Amino acid sequence: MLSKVYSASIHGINGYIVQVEVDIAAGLPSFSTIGLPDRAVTESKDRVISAIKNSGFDSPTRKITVNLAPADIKKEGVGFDLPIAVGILTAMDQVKIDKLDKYVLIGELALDGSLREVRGILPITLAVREMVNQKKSDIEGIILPLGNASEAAMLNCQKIIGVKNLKEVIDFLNGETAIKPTSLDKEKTNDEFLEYDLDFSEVKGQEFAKRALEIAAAGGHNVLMIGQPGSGKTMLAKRLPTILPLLNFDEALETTKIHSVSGFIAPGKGLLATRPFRSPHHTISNVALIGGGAYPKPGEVSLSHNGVLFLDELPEFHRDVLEVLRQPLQDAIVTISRAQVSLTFPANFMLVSAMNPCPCGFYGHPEKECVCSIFQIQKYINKISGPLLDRIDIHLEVPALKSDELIEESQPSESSKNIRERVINARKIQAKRFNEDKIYTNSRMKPKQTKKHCKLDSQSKKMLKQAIERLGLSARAFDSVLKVARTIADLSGRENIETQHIAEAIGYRSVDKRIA
Amino acid sequence: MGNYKQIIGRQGEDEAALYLKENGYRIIERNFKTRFGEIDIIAFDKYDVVFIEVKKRADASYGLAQSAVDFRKQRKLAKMAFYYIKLKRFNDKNFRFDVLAITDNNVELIRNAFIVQRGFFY
Repeated sequence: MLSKVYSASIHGINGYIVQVEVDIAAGLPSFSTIGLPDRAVTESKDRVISAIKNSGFDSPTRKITVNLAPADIKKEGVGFDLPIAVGILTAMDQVKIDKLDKYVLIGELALDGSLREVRGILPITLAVREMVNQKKSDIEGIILPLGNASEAAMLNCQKIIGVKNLKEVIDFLNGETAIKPTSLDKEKTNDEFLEYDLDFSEVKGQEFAKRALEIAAAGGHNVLMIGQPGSGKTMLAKRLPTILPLLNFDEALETTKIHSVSGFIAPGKGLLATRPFRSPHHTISNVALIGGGAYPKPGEVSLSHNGVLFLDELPEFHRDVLEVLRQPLQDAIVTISRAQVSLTFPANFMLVSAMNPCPCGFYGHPEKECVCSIFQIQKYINKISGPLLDRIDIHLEVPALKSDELIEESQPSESSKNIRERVINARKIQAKRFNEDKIYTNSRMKPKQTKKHCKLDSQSKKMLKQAIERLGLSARAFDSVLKVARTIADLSGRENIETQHIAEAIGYRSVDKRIA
Repeated sequence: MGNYKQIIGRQGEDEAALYLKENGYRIIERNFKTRFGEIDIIAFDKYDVVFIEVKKRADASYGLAQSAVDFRKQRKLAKMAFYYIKLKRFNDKNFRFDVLAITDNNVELIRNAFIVQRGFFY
């Protein structure tokens, strides 16, 4: 007998519907899976047979053929266990068909028949929603492991049936038990958003750096922090997400999709609310950074989509790893091409990087002496290539604190909450300005928009001209000064860029000065 | 020594046939010979054709009898079963492999002991 069950899988970061067809025929008992299954899918037969047996059903003793359609896309993952098991039981006449057509089934089976969570539920739910909206089929909802139910329920538009084991699924399909669809308590999840355990007020001094990070957060500018060891670069960077506005719904959906595919959504958790902050170690390979593999998976640049990618000890990263960052920094997407498939992942992140001023770390320290030669320092800084440096709008020196600054009980500085309010205001101004341009922040302005929105008065022009001559700014660096100046003007609520804004923006090009 | 093994085996198969009959199997072949080897017992269990491998061990000190049906033995059985099905033109029947393990006086029937896997026929 033949049976058909709907399931779904992921391709890149998008879900698609898979039809699982099971045929049970006379012949020597065997089990074969076709339709380009990968290892995990092929292995599912042993899990499925054990689970069926241990859930109290008859195990099949005939020739079983499982086909996964469409047959030309490589199927990966363990989510097919449940639909295959249900398909077999249906073909053995143990499940009624009428309800089966209305659900997409997904889940990994344990040998005892209980269900385990799978990754990539959000993109799959989106694909199912598409199906439901098009009304091309009878699909009404999804049956999935209970731990995945809250992730799927975020979209709030189809029946999400969370189940614990295979027996429960069969009873539900046969109409013997009713299961209440999971729905998400929106109020509750919103409250969880605003709690960070870090705060900017914990950072002593470094008011200049805090101001620069506020500008960076407001305009989505990339930042390079240069400072002695222990001066607070890492501490500052870790607190950057606390002054960024929360993700809006569309952003949250995109970012959560990527995290879902990578399996980073904990059971019971829904949409990401806060912006991701990723800080990979400097030994990272370029595939891990931008994504890859025979069937490409998103890398760190995509995991930090709509958030912050923090690279600590920037010169310690392999040179080729830093160079692959150029394209995603420029285009906010990354396209991974392999022989089998070519996929595009979103990668709209804010790059925050930190480095020491020299190999020993103490160049420019108020009290300690640097032991590096000029040549060594030059070599160290040159590890960061010009093209990469050009794409970083804000260069920032974070000097070590003097001993009396450290010990003295200063009055607590501004909290993250206050700073965030200013950032949100500045972002609102930008959102209004770029209404039609499909960008959110100043840092993403194209030359045409820069020309339109960054008009200068004659005095500012004169100052900028001098700066270009003295610092030897490239055309791209010139653009980034304009963008940063625009953000500074937005933060202070000014319509036009003024001389002081330009002056401050030029101040954030310190590495250009050093190289020149 | 070889003689002793054969006696044990023969005894085991007689015991097995008796046990199967008691459990409702209708025996159709015993020691069915093919050029790949021999199927101990072929029987009907209701409408299913069952190929039965009998394993007898005098005592359990070498491990349980059923552990002697390894991948190679399974493959051999599958090939022989395939040959038998062709021979008898049993095209629309259900088939199954059982293992009957006899250790001392303890008889254990493992229904549907294994399934045909990829790699059995090449």
